[in-house]
Amino acid sequence: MDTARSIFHLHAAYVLTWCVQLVYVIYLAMGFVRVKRESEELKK
Amino acid sequence: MNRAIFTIAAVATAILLSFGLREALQVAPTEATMGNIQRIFYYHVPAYATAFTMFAVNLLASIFYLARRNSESAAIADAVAVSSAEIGVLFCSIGLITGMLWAKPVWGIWWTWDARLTSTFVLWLIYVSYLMLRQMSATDQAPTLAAALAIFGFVDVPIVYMSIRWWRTQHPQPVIFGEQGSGLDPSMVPALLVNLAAFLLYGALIFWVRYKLERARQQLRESQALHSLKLARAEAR
Repeated sequence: MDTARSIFHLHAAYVLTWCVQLVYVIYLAMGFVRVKRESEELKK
Repeated sequence: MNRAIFTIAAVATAILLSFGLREALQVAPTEATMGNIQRIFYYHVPAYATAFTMFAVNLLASIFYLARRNSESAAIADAVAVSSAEIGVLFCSIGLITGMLWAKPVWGIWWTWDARLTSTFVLWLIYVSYLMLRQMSATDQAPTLAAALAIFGFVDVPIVYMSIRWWRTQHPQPVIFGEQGSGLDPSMVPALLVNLAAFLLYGALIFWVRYKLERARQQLRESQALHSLKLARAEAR
């Protein structure tokens, strides 16, 4: 039933879920930074 | 949504996600046949539920955009559509990843081309192509074409949902809204419901952030177009 491999897969699923979410949140933050920078360049 | 409401919602989501994690890994009973690996279920199902909700929002926004594409609210509908599609793809990707990690120890394989898995992969491809169309097309027609694609693309959502009811698949038969006697054990229901609520709330929050980013991009594009027009006029003089 439970093997070391299956426990590893269980933990990997939970960790990967939040890694993917974290990468996406960073991508969103970079998007805001880029928009802000381009808006400031336009105002100059 | 003002900053205070957003902060309260973010704190509530964090609490709910933490509670959900504890319910899934510690409180919910171990499944008799599969063992602890079945606990992936508490992330796998909410991820798909959030993805399908986002694709439904994308469908409604796309219909609205096509119906009122010359009105002022069209830009808002377009921002809602692209934001919901992106969040939908994000959660659909998580569903596919968690599904493969679950399949390997239980089935002995990472992937099989059965009706449920194949229709889900096609769904993911449809919305990735939607995002690529939005990203790569330089014409003004891109939002209109993407809205049409979104309407046809959504047809795959009920096919994915019904696939395990219509065809015999490697994927297990439904435990939610399935046949009589196929339901989830009552002791497992709280963990599923808490994670479902947590994922939907988290999905709504990042959808809101993505929507604000899209609106900021739209305003920037308008300002850039206006700026270019002014420069062109100045040069013409």
